[in-house]
Amino acid sequence: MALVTQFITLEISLVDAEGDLVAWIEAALAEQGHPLRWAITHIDPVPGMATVEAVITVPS
Amino acid sequence: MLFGSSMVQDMCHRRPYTAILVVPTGIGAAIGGYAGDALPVARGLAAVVDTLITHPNVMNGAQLYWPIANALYVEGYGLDQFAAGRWGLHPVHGNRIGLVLDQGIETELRWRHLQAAEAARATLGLDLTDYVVTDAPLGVALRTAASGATWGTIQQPDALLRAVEKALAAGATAIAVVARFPDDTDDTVLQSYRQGQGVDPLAGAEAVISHLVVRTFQVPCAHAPALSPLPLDPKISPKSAAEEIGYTFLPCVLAGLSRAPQFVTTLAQGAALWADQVDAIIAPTSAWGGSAVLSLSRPGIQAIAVDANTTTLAVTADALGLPVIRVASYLEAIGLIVAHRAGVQAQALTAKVPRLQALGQGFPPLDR
Repeated sequence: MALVTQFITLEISLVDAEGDLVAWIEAALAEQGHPLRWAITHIDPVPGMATVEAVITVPS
Repeated sequence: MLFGSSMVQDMCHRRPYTAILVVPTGIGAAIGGYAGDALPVARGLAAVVDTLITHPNVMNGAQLYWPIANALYVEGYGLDQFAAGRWGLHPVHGNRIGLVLDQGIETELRWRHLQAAEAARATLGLDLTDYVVTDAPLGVALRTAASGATWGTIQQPDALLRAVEKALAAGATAIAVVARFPDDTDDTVLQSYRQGQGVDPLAGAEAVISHLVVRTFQVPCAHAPALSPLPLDPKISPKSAAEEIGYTFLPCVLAGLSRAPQFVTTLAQGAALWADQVDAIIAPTSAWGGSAVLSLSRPGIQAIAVDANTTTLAVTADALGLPVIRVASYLEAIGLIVAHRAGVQAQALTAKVPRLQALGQGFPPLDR
């Protein structure tokens, strides 16, 4: 199956991410595609939100 | 005599000390954000641990590299899987490297890379298969995100994967990829990078290429960009200078891959190093949002955040509620590792030793 690489950003709630933060982020990314590389790149502590930047692959 | 016996006993019964050094690429790390300029940190750390696990961004200095006998060269996607406990690292005596060249590389530049590969065979004794050229230009595109981090995409990922498949079928056990990167990088960004400032504009796309190969085939992989030579600039920073002294960035990649550990995904695949054997992880204080550091910020692992290695980010372990020890510099981090390995509580090396408190009142941070 042919692939396309895409850059995406996600806003995730750190408050809701109980336990395994990596699994929480990977699950959120998996709704968009297959994650290749990601990182939390910004934290807004008051509402407890984090920005995740990622490159994913999706079928073309 | 008693002292000698005690030393022997310690060497016989102490389990090996394993540390991971992470300097994420493409975020303007003050140490390690340029041309292999975190390699001295890796050399220093490797001298005080039994095994150092680190990644190409730390070890690669274009034409320059430094073989570290007890360091494992692990590509970032594989490092993330290792840290998450999904993959193990199986050390090898040597790998046979398959060289994959982007069809988008012009003839003269391709010859420069082939000659670098031939030199690695003849001068270093490395084992390479015949090379593979992709059946379409990979089409690397660069991007800088709102955070300041650089990322990238490739237009023809399937062409890359087909070429890697051919190299593996020819007997390769590790993959070196050379992709043609655009020469039209923003001039201001490029000049800053060459002067040891700002963010490496290529880094994010490089990581995506190697991540795709490792995710798909579970073999060691690293990437070198092919670029047209730049005009001489007498003001080049020492931190970026390693990329100014030749036609390719390939030699360090071949040297690193030549002894990179293989990945194993099950215990049945033989002896390997797994995440539960890691004793310490060291990363920049402001870049605690990557997969590997998040996975390993847990009780039982000494997580060390280094303030001096500033980046474009401000994602701290404190903000994520994760337990780390913050240190000013890598010099201090190395001292902390030595103390940890010796079983010495770090606070006892300072003039301040606070009294014990009733359980539940928290433990104060390291006070110098």
